[in-house]
Formats: sequence, structure tokens, C-alpha cells
Amino acid sequence: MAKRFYIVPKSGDGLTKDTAFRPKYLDAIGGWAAMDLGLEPTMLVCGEVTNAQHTSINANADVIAVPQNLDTQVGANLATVQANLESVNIPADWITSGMTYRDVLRWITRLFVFHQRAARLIGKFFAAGFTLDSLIGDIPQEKRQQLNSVAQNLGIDTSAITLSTTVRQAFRILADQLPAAPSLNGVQL
Amino acid sequence: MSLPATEDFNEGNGVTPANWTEVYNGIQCTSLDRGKADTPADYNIAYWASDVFSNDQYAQARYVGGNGYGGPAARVSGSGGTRSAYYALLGQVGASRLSKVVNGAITDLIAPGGISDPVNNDIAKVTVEGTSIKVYYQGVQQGTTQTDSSLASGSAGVIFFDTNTELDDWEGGNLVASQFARPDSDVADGAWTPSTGSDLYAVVDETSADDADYMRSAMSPVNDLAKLALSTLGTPGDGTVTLRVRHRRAP
Repeated sequence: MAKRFYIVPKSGDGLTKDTAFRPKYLDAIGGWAAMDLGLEPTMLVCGEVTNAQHTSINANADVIAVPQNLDTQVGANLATVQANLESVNIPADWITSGMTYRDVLRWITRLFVFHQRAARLIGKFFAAGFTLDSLIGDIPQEKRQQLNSVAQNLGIDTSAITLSTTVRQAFRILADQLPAAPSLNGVQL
Repeated sequence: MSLPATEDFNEGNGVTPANWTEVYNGIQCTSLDRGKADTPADYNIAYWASDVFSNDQYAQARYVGGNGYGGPAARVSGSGGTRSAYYALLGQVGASRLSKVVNGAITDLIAPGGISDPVNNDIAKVTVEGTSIKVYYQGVQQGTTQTDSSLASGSAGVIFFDTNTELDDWEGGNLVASQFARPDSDVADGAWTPSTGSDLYAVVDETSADDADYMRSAMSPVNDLAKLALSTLGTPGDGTVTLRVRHRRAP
């Protein structure tokens, strides 16, 4: 058994204790702790799995598996890592080949923290047709003001964000100012 | 009223205890002076409404068994469809967990079974400090520390999923970080002198032990009384206040 990180879709509908939102594929295995990306359909999970379970989980096309050794550098996998993360609306253009997966995970938890707080006020962020390359000016004014309130509530300086800032740039500015999760499922980040 | 708040559920069988706001369905006292849910097979959430809680808070209760699910809840707020809380959902069939409900949407943060089941009469406690959420039984942490930022504030409370689980001796309060008092002015110098400058307090107000500067007495200071004022502390609540003094004699 080993504790491994995955980014997976949510399962469940969140309506009852038995159908609570949980990390897809890991839900059936147990032994996990997870963070949700607000109301986006994505979770970061650290599960305790066997090699066979990992192979089974990783065989699914909608799973992003993180190498077990978090101190491995992204290296030649850079393009794949970036494409995988951006496919679930996690900005990844800031990642370099010299970064470790722990570096990447640490920043991702910062983004998750922002989404979690924002979700309660504004609901799901990525409406249809909205992408990381959309502009802050494309966000309806009321929602934009609510986002600004969330940022201020979290103690974030938003002065560098303008209407022409892209969502990916804004998320970088916002998440950079938040503390990372110290650990997930007991694994230090 | 004042914190910590306590609830013994002794107001009569079937009575909704005073001082509580029911967020979704409700809670009632039992004939054995315990707390349980109003509504079977559904969430029942309530919070202590007679005090205002700080954002860093805890809720705890004595788990008295049953074959359902229930537990203490923190940062409880909302009503009906906006019900929100962090909570330990505790049972005895290997599926205890840490969860949140945000505007009515339930997310498990630690897997069912990721927290060991309590035994009867365990004091189960949920703490929320900043974005850090923990569960304890009898003062021992269960599962791992979870990070979540969905809920910034609310009140300490309780949650049940069904009418088969009962809790007793509920308590909710604020978490208070340890406080440190430090010298911040001189009241009387006595015959003491600072190693540098003119203020005694300024040479002994460091935040970590440092012998670089110090205050000095005569060889026999038995009647040399120096008095230093200490910085203001908040009301401790259930926290602690620490005052450390180091002294050294010249050889």
C-alpha cells in the first residue's frame, strides 16, 4: 500500500450522506482524503492504494495520476502535465520542467482553497463557454464584484487584476497569495 | 450567556432544547436526557444560537451510540437550502467520516471509514482553526488534518442523519491560541540597570530567548525590587497564558 495523489472527477450528487460528492474511482477503495475544486467537477485526492488498485485507477482516461515520489521533477513530462491540468481548468502555464510534483501540488491546493471559498458565494465558476483564456472583463459585473469580495475576505491583494487580465493570470495572482494546504491524508506537501 | 456553551438535553422528552436554531429539520431531547434528530432518514442540523462564536471554534459531544449517524458540527450556518457546516459523521459500522455541507451540497472530506468509529461515551470533538479541520475522540486526533476554506464562519452545533443516534453533554466554544505576555514598560527600576539603553523592559522583551541584552542587579538584590508592566492580553477563554522568566547569576 502507498499513499498516492490523483486529480479525478467527482462522483455522487451531494444530496444525501450516501451520495455525497466523493472522488471517483477512489470512493470504492476508501482510505482517502480529498479537496474539492469548489463546485467544479474535480477533486484532488490522496488515497492509500495497492499497486493493482493504482493500475486500475490510472487506466481511466479522466484520471490524472501524480508520481508516487513527489520530489521527482516534472522534466520531460512538462507538456503532458500542463495539458492534463488545463483540461480540468487548472492553470499550468507557470509550471517548468525543473519543478517537482510537490511544488505543483502545493500550488494546486492554493487554487483549490480559493475556489472553495468562492463557490459558496458565486456558485460554479466555469459556466459554458468560459475558459482559462477568458478575460476578467467577460465575467458579469455582479459576479466579478463577488469574486473581488471573496479575494478581499481571504486577504488577497487584487490590484494587479484588471478587466483585460485573463482568468488564468488572475488565478495565478490570487492563488499565489494563499497558503498551501500543509498536507493531505497525512502526506506533507 | 457565555462560552463555552453547554447543553444537557434535559428539557423533556420530545422537546426542542432552548438556545438552539434549527437549520434543517431539527433536534429534540429524549426521555434519557440525550439529544437526537427530529426527522428520520434525513439530515437534522442545529446550532447553538445564544452566543456568538469566533471563526476558530469547536463543538464536542458525548457519543452514546445507536445504529445511525450523528456528531458535532462547527461553523454551522444558513437555513433550509443554504445549510452549511463542517461535521464529523459518526457511527458504529466502520463508516465514520469528516464531511461538509455547503449550501445543501454534501462533500465527504475524509472517506467513510477514514475515521475510526467512536465507542460509547467517547467525547467526540470537531475543531476548525483557519482552514484546518480536525476530529478528536477523548482528546486524541482521529484521521488526518483536513484543509478546506468553504466556510469562513458560523456557530458550533450538532448534526444527525437519523433518529437512531444520540448525543449528550454537548459543548461548543472558541479556540484560543496560546498568548504570551511581554514586558512593555518600566514601573519601578529598583536598583536594576539595563545592559544597554535606559529602559529595563526593552532588554527583556524579546520574543525568543536572547542573552545579548539583559537587566542587571547589584551583587545581592534581595531588597532591589524592579517592576515591569506586561503587554495586554485578550480574555483567555479556554486558552493559556504563558509568562517565561530566565535569570542568570554572575559567577
